[in-house]
Amino acid sequence: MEYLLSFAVLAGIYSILALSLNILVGEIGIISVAQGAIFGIGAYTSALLVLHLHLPFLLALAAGIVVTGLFSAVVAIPSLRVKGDYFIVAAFGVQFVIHDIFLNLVDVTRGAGGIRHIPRASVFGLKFDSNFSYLCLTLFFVLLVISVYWRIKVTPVGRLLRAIRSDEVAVQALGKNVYKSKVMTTVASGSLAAIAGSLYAHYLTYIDPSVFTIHDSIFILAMIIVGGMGSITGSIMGAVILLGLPEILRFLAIPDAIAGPGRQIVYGILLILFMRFRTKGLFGKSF
Amino acid sequence: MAYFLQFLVNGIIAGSVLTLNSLGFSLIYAVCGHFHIAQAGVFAISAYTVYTCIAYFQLPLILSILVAAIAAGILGLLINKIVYEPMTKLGAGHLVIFISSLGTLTIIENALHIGFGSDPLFIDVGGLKASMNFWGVIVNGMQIGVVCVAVLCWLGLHLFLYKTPRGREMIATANNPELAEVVGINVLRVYGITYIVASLVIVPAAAYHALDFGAVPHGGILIFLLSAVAVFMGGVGSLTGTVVVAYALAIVQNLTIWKLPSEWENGIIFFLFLILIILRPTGLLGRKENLQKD
Repeated sequence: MEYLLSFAVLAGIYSILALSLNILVGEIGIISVAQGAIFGIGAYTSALLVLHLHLPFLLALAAGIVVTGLFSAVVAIPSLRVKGDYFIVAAFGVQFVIHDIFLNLVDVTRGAGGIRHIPRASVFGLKFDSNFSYLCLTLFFVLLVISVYWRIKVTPVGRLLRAIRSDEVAVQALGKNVYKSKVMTTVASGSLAAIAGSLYAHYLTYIDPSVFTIHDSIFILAMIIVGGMGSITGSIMGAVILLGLPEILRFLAIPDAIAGPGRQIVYGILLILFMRFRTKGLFGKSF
Repeated sequence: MAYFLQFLVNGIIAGSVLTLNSLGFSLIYAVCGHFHIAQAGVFAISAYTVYTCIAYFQLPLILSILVAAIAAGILGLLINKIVYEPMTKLGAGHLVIFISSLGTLTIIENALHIGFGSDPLFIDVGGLKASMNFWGVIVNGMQIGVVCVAVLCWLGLHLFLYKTPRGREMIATANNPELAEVVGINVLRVYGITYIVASLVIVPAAAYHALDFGAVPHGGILIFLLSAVAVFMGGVGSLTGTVVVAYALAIVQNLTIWKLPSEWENGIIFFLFLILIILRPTGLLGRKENLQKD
């Protein structure tokens, strides 16, 4: 039972990540391979603030959102001025540089050893100690992120984003500010990923750079490709399916040395097959 | 001063490796418009082929590099044929090609990981690694070799593109694929040739990298990204711009190691990239029309 609960908490956290990336990829059509690093910035910011400045959880979470939002803006403002491929390169750069910082800025991040003894989240004196209570907290934030996503989707803003995805030049010709919409969406996506980061740090009470690598970014991207670009159900199902897959593979008794890379190969194959035969993913509408 | 010269020379050596990679990336990006990140996988396969040929079959180095070139050419062609071509025929966009390329890279890297492990595999080439001292600057035969090969490849590619019919077809396709099709150029075949040539160009770089730093499954990706930076900063479609920036980046990177802790060398390159695209979005020698093509 505890096993299922902790799986559900992680699935919730990764659902938030998948949703945050889907706003970027699925709605406006910007590919980012830095979501793992952005997730990490949220986690580290929140963990360090709680540990060193003894900020309450919610305040640390808010600080994480602000920091990742600002950071996303700093990267997005120059790289989104030119076409999408520049952003891909910039995002890869962010992924590598941020990981380098987690690993090498030992005074602050404690390097490869990671940060231990991060206190569990507590809100107004209410401590989320058990798996069940933490699941409730996570679900609250999942619903919050879904409602933000929903808001973006059904309002004119969402229509503008989807229009940019299908024909940027036409949207520009109608007098809309494409560049501004892109930057705002990138910032929104980064901020939402910070929520997942904070929840993750205060759930496992331990973070290290190995969770925020390029492979994790590709993993998150695979979630929305499998689930469905531009789909809320798809983001959540993608997260559940891809997190569940290794748990099922575990019963097949594959040696550890092969299991890790083997899993990555499965993700790679999924990316190609979905791009070839079903770009809209399992739950998405036509892409 | 001797230190400065040494770091400068190291920069030129690293710049040659980067140049070879950038030429490969630039070719595919300009002609096919594909963000072919699986090139990093072709790079890794070439490195492991050289390793296998030398360590298991005791082939001489030159022959091993030739075998790696054949393997890389075939692999490049196959990736285009099996993965991209069906999608191109369906009119797939940029995003679709990039994501499947990322998938291909993930498969190659992890297959190598399972096959060879993740620790770097070193190759024994004896005398080639013996260092020579020129006025206080230390280099070895391998390093001199890679610099010469890079310059030769650059000149060779230039001649190929502008002096042979196949090369001109590639330029035509890069400039306007629809028009190229109309005048009777088989665009899909041009893509195939582009993939072969681009995969061959990176083989010497991969071989050098494997000899110097050991072969690793994930070894190609960072060099690949730096080469993408070089291509974008130099200006898409400008070989000269690409080569100049590739050398400049590598020299800057090595001079930074001289003064700053080496962990930050990549950070500085990507920082420069962000600054430059604010100042000059078309790249140093790029033309404006290249930006509109998406």
